[in-house]
Amino acid sequence: MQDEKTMDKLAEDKTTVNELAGDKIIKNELTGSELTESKITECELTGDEIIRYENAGISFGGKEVISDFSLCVLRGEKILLRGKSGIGKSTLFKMLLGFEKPSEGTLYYKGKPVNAQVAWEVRREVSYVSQDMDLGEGPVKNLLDEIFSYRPNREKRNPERLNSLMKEFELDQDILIKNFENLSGGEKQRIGILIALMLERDVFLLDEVTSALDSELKKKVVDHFLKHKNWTLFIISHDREWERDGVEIVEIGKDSLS
Amino acid sequence: MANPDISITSLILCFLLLTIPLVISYRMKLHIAWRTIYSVTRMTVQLFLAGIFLTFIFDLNSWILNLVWVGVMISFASYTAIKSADLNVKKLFMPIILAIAFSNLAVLLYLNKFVINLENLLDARYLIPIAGMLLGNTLRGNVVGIGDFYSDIKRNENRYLYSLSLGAGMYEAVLPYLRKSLKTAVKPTLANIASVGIVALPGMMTGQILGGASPLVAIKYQIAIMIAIYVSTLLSTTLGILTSFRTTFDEYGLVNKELYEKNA
Repeated sequence: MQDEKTMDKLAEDKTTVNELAGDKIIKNELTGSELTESKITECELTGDEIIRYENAGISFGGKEVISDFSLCVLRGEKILLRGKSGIGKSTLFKMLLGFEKPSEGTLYYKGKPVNAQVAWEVRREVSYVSQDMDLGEGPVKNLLDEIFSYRPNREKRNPERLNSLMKEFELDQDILIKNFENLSGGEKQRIGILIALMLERDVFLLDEVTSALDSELKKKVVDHFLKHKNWTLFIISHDREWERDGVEIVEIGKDSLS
Repeated sequence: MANPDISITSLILCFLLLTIPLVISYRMKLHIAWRTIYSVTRMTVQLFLAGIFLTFIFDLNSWILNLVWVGVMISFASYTAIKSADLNVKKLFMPIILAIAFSNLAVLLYLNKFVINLENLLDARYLIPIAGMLLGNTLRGNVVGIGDFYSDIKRNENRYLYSLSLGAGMYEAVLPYLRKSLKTAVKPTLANIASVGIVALPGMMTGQILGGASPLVAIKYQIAIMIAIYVSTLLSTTLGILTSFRTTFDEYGLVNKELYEKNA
């Protein structure tokens, strides 16, 4: 039984990859590129690749979570990753940050295969917002101070920018003196987004960052991220709000693209 | 000034006291009679052996032998410390043993040289009992500190990973956990220091007073020992955790999963 399931899953994933590849090829034709073989070469040609998965797979305790996943994210692209819960979408982000190691295939960041050294580089250059924001315990202000004490972030402390972002996302000033663990899910999410924006990086891994926000705030957040043309966004979300012009939807674990 | 010896007959009279716990155990069905007999027998045998051994060591008073014996004590202490912390013994043994050895010896020698003003720093009569007292206490601090540190990181894995994703170096990311576990490790020692003399007279002081020393001398020794315990506990726990990083974290800044597999 177990084996059958795994096989089914494998087959399913394979189809998806083919579909994905197909999608990429079409895109290529549109841009006038002559290449039709594989998206991997396409990445190399266009030059400005940020993230690339090449037949990446990972299994936990013998159970395959992701297999044969290939995808390429170019500079300035906005990619929305969709698929059922538990299919391993978050794991794709974690592999890039070096929190999980692929059991097959390779990941590339800016063309370099992700090893320990590159993983540390990703952590310094990419803004990651996780779906379960856990900053720690204690007043938000202290936790922010801690983050801006990290060496790559020391220059990024900017109270005015913090103020204007807080206003934009409807957070009161007094939230800074509240204990993070007592905040609501929506407040925690906005704090996470705020931090990601404060770090002034231009590649974002956003894992369900709008799930606990009301529709008005969802819109504000999506607006903010999409208005920067040069930002590279790699998004995991079930929110329809992200499905806008210029956002490419990649469906994983399904037979067809919707 | 030596205190009168306890004769074998007197010792038997002391064992007679044990009939009280045995009777209570029997009447209340505590089922600790065998446990009592086992523990007391084991203690008696161990202490008699230790007595014979220490007499031998004190008579010889060879500094090499003294150091070797302290080394054996340290190894045993470190082993017990990690074993009771539910962590993989193999991975932590070297860092802990070095941290405990360095901190305890450093504090001990400082004490012998500058506080007690010994001519022979490695005199068995001072080295071995004081090392024993320091070890007994630093051990507890290490168990608490190291166990707390690694279990806290594991419990808050997402939080730890998130700080790495924000660009924290490994040291920056573990710092909150390090601070917390060090505070937890020395908290009982600090509380103990503050209550000494009010609640109870510490064992060493009691021993010295029974041995005929004046209380005023005994308290000075006690002060020295308490400070030494505090310093070596904090120092060895700090060094222990810091030096364990090399074997417990991988190049990605993640804790090796095997660390949490006991006896792996």
